[in-house]
Amino acid sequence: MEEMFLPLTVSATALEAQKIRMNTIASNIANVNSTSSPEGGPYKRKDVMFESYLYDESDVGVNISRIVEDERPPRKVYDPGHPDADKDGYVSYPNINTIEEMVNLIDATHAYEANLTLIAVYKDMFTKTLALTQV
Amino acid sequence: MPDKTHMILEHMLDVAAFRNKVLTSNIANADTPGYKAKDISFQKEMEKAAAMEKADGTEGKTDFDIYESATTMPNRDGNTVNVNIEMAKVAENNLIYDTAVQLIAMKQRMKKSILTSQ
Repeated sequence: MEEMFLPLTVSATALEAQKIRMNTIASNIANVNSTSSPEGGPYKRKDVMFESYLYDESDVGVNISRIVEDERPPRKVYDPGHPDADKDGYVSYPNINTIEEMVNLIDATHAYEANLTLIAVYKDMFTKTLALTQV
Repeated sequence: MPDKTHMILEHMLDVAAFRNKVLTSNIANADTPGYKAKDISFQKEMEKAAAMEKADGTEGKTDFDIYESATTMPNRDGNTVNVNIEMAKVAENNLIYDTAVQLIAMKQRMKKSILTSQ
């Protein structure tokens, strides 16, 4: 029975992975102006790493192996009055490009939709086969 | 006596269901670095099944040959999944599956009408 519905599980793992990706994108956009963070220094842009997960030869799910921090140098803005300014009067802002994040978000949304469609297709196939019992 | 048409239709369902699994994995891994898109050839699998049947007269149960599908251009991260192409394949595969289901239903209706006619 589990084997029979494995394609649904595979699509579900992808939905979950894309959802986590959307969460990190949301965090990145939300923190575009965060000059301090619990780890110290400005907020660092985060990105997810996808990794395939083998159920068997034909059923390959997806996993988020880890969430990595972007090591781009921070954006320096001269603002001596800012509480987070360094001794030269520069404030470090996270190096986040909102356009880049929005493009990633569109990509994630499309991937999410594609996987939803595949769940619908599989359900459809299964229901149609089931209907053979009542000819 | 095994019904040849029925067996072919069963193979059609088998192959299409398996191909759906493979395509589902491809879509799920559309963003996985290094993942290579996979596929099976519907035609080749049907030919193989038909050949097996002829050989020993029993229902041929074959393993499917999964191959890496040809790609126009891999992404920078080595991923070769093109979601649009995969979705087109899914649509095509779904139609094949539908066809087989409809044909099986038709055959069953025919049998039923024979049994119920006076």
